[in-house]
Amino acid sequence: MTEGNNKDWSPRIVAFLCNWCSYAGADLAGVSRMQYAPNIRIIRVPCSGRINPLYILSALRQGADGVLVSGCHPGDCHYISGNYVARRKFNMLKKFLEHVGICPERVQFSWVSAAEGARFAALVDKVAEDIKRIGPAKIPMVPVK
Amino acid sequence: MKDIQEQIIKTAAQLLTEAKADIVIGFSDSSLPMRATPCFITNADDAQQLVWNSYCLNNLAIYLPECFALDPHVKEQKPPPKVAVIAKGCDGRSAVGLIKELQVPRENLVIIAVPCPGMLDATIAQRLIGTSEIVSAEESGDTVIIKDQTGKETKFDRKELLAEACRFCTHRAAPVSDMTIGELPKGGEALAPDERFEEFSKKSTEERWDQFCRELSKCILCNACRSACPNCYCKVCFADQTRPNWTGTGGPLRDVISFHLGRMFHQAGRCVDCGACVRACPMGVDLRTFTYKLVKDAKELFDYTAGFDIERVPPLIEFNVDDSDNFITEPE
Amino acid sequence: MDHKQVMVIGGGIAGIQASLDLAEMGVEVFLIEQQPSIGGRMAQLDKTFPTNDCAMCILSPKLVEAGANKNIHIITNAEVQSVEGQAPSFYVKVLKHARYVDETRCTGCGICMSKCPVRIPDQYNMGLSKTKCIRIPFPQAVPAVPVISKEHCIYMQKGKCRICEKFCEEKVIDYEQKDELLDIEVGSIILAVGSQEFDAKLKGEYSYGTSPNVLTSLEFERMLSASGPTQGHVLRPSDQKEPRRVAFLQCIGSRDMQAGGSFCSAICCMQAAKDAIIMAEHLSNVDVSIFNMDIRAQGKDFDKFITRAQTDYGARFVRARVSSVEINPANDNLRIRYDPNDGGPLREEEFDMVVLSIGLQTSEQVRKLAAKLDIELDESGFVSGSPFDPVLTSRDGIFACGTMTGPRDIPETVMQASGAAGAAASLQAELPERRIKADYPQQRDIRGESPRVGVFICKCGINIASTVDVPGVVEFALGLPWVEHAQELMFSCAGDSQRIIAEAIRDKNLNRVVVSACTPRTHESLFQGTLQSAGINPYLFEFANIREHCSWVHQKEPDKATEKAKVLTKMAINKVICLEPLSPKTMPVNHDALVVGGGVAGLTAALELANHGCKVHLVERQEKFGGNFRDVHFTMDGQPSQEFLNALIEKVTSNPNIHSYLNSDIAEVKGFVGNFKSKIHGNNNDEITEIEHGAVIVATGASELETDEYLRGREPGVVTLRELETALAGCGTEELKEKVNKAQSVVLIQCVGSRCDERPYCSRICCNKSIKNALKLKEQNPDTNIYVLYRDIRAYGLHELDYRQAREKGIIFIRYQEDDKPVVTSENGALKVHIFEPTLRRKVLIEADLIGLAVGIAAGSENKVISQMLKIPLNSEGFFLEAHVKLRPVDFATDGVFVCGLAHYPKDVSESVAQARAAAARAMTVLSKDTIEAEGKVSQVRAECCAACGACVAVCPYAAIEIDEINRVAVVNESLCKGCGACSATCRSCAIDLRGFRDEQLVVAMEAIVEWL
Ligand code: SF4
Ligand code: SF4
Ligand code: SF4
Ligand code: FES
Repeated sequence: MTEGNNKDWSPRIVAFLCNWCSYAGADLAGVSRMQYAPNIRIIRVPCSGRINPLYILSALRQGADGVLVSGCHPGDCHYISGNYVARRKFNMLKKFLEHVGICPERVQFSWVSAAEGARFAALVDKVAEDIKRIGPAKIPMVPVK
Repeated sequence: MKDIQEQIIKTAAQLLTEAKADIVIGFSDSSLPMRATPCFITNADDAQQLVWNSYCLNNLAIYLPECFALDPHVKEQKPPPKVAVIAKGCDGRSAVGLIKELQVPRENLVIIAVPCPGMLDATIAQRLIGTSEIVSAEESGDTVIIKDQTGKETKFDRKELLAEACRFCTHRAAPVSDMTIGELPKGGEALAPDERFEEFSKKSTEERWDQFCRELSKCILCNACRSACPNCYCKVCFADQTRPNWTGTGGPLRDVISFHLGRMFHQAGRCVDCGACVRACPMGVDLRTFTYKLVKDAKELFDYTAGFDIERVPPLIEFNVDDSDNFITEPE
Repeated sequence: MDHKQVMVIGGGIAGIQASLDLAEMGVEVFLIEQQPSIGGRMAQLDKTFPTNDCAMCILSPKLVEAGANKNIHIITNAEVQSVEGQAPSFYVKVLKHARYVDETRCTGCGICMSKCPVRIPDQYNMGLSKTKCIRIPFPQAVPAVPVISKEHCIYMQKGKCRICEKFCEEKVIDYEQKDELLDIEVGSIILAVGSQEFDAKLKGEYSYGTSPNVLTSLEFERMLSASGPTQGHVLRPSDQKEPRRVAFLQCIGSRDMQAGGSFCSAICCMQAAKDAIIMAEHLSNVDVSIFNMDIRAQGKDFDKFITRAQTDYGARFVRARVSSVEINPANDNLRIRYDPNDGGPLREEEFDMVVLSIGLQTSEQVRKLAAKLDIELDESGFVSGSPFDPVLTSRDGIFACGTMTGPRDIPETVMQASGAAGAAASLQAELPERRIKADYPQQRDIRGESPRVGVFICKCGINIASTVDVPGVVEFALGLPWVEHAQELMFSCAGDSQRIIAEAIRDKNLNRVVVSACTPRTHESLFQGTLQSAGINPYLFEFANIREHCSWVHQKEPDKATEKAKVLTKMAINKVICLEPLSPKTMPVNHDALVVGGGVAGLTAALELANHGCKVHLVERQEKFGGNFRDVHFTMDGQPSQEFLNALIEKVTSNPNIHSYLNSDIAEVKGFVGNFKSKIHGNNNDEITEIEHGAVIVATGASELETDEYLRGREPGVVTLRELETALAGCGTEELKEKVNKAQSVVLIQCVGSRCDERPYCSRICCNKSIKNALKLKEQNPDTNIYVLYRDIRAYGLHELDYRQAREKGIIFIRYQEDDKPVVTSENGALKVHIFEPTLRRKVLIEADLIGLAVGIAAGSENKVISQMLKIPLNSEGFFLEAHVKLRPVDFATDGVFVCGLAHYPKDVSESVAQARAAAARAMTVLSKDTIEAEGKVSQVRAECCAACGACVAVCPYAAIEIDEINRVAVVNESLCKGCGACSATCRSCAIDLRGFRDEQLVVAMEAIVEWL
């Protein structure tokens, strides 16, 4: 766990991308040689609808400084309605985490299509910037009692 | 309340005699003052045990899934029983949720809606009285007179002793029922404003996080909250699973937090705000300040209140193409 | 020929769809494309109407699929030279032009492209940006192999350079490569070469070519695209500023006698509305004006889309043809002049940018091909076979689809493509199929073995190695638990690398493999094949993308990139350790089909299936076959049409493969793709017939709306078009026939019950039906005055020619507004129509002997029942909702169920026939197989955790899960599951998990990230 203001600290961001649009968008960013922050680690999932909110909680528990989730734009999901159902979950989760005091920057959601390489690069940069600004994850390690 | 109790007894006896129910779930007297105990009546003669008073606090819906669970030890399952339940607003709302989630077959459930005046919480009374144990309580109109060990009598306004969930409850009648007893209260105004939640919501992110951590650091992971929640009927809770292990060892606070965030989020769009978890917690963790956010957002985002409309699909397993995108990060 | 073989000429979406369908039907396909990559026009589109789906997102999986399919030979940079022989045996000579790169060995690494010093205009971006002389045409191209443009290459022109050759590690550049002539024998041929855009320069008055701020719609499309020259920023070319006012001019080169075609291009109105919406989403502050003659929104959900463009995005639709566009030299703005059609003077407005909605035209390629193949074209240069059956051509065994048969949108194109595929295959029904099963050794049983992971890190020439310290990653991998072997490879996808991997598996007894290289989206199946060839289950493989997601995007930070490459590799190793062998389930397929509905669509589908050799159960509710078409009496050019129907019915009823059930309904459908069990209920005798079948085609039709508007039902002189047509054909009541014969003044009123609040859609066929009847009336009695009162004349596509003819014959068209409809009154049976005449700008009164109402089409009321029975959705208007509006227009999300005809949406007979053929062809992709293989990565329930709450059932888009009520547990039907994982993400007790993407597998991958290095 990184605590405090470590100078060498650079954020660890877990990204979940759906295979059909956002992962392809990330591929396109690569093919187009767009340069973006190296803090992101991509986990490929079939669909944004596959992302269990527990993954996000688990990432936070393990000390990820940020989580980025991205799927096809609404209406574009390869599995018809995956991202529609996911959108409701994500919306509630995001607001819930914010309510308990987790910075909204910490967990972010977006839609990126297979043609939006530039959007993907900009998104990663934005999320990395946001997280650098708010600093390392502060989920406390203190044992109970 | 006495005549309601009479009617409850009569109705229960009748249902059992006419074989319209195999079990009636209600309350009986407790050996402790200011308390009532859930009871299961299977015999018309035992219906006399049923009581109805200001202490019938528990959410009885917690017992419903068990009544219909399959017996893992036998091959030939018995046909599901007919179960009648004495339902306040919260029991009724939970029952509706359980019906929607297929834990309770509607046709086997008799919901007996009774008017709930808002229940009184012995723990709150004890806190107000102090260390001296309560020995009895007498209620007349809106006043409650409590006698403690030392023989001292203290007078309270009923409102002061209301269980927390009951203070904020806006719908004290079961939304769906098969029979009603007495005159059911209309929905509407809560008995008290929900200041604590409002205050918390107004705090800064850091303050909220600090308070959240402070609250949860009281938690001893006894799981009482989970056991008390009618929605926590999973056969194996995610928190008890090992592949993967979602919540760690439970040692560090972050593990406790991940358990609670997971459990609470599983109530999104399902929590009926009955307060069972909070009352069950031996450490007094203020869970509601967090769970209520989910209740509120379900309403705000999807116009959904859990336990109301038996036809409506719970919000997190359906969608609308026009649902809000307002939480999405736009990179530019 | 020893098996079914088809040549598909043209590799746009039509050709690709036809090829994929054919391949699934067991046909060997030769797909010939003139360009160096398949993809066609659709690859250049940004989004597609009316859903604004991202075009590349939906197209690129199809490109990959076609590229990987063993039954499809993609021959690019090639053209057909000659065709000899006749059905079912054609000999085709194909000239494959040199691309100067050895396609079989090139790895597509792209180094050559980055080193080439010559920059040339990028045709993919309509010349709006530059690419290299040696280039892969676009990032998603298939094959992903570069091509050298000979005329730009300095070595080939001037003898000096050879830079690309120098940098190519695989040594596959070949400046000496020659054109190649291929001889191919096939049983049938499908033409799908598309169309071309009108050359806007021919309309000099619009300043295209003189002002940079006048763009064509296709150029604009590239500008909108996130992968286009401006990355989706709409910028005015002259000053790179965001435009404030943009005008779209419709019908450039369409509906125009002087230049281009006199027909309508059918898609431009929607395209302009789409562009307006997308632009408004990009730029908050833009005013869009669309100058049009009619808004032609004749397709499913099109009208709603137009309304959205207007109300939500503020697009202004101006009904006018623009006469000129002039450049304002002061600010490079564009001044346009138009006649507002309200009797007033010409008006002028100034815009920052102008987009010309250029029409579709037949191309030189089509004309040449038609000449070579001896195929007839119509007067506009489109392939025309039969008025009822658009996929036929004048030559047996040769079929056509897509925009070369007339202007049409993508779904129609896709329908025709599937339809043509079915027709081409059924012609060879007798021949055996070709289904390639790779010959892999027996899979090793790895149960009980502890993980032995092999890790291969690709240098990709210098693509990865120049940024990432590949040896460092190898060393790192070697230090991780369970890793038995790690090495680097120059090009892991090259043939010798495959051998190296397979040998390592055998030598070191590996049971799991990680490759850190490029993207799994294109290369995963290759390595899975390598595992199989070494006797390992293909699902014991994991990919780490250290090129697209690492070396290419962190070129300036080699240390960070290396660190990231290590983490990505470790994530893959962590995951691969948790992977398990999977074996996709195979299910037997019943080869029979059920067709519900015996109108033209149902009859056509049944007949086509029977021609393929399937047994078909054809169920019709009424006593007779024919449906709505029984009331269609003549075609647009006045030819009788019942002969077509009678011949069709005759073919169906005499076909031994077809069992007809008249007067019958479907009582029950159980089962799933390949294995349905249904009950047919005879309505006369109450008899139930039980059948088994592998697929269902829903062709239940629709019905004409009942209306009492315009005195309908109260005045005998107010009839529906259907009644009018019947009378004109000499059928129907004597009274009406006489009325029709004597009528001196006839008024036809359009949009009765369509495009209103209750039914906010266009019934699509009524305009053309009115024009047809008006022409017939005129023909029978040239003195009759005929008035057509309309909102927009939707004579889309080639129908425009009939509209023109009608006007030339003196039929009068008067436009009315939705809020100022015509009023019909009657004085003792004398009918009067009151309407506001917009060019006269006053109310006029027409005395009518007869009023014909173009009543709309309403969805069948029984659709609801069928929708529940088959678990297929309806849209808000009650028509069936297909799986994907653009690319799966006859499928449902539920496998094995297909739709065609009016049940899907109103359409004319030729469109119904095309769609019916498509439905039959799509059904054949299932029915032609003996078994179907499910996905490998499907979900699985852990019964001991499942509470049978039904959440998973609710979210599964494919109806693949059911609750077993007896055992109180969710059950997954593996042949329906597509592996999306929605169920698993929803289950609170994680009782349902997705194989290949299990919770645990993803969580351990995550652990590698968070542990950090
Ligand atoms: S009841 Fe209280 S102490 Fe027990 S697990 Fe729940 S919050 Fe923690
Ligand atoms: S969501 Fe989970 S618990 Fe509920 S039915 Fe499905 S698998 Fe069972
Ligand atoms: S993975 Fe998707 S398709 Fe498969 S059962 Fe689950 S929800 Fe349905
Ligand atoms: S496939 Fe991308 S969100 Fe579903």
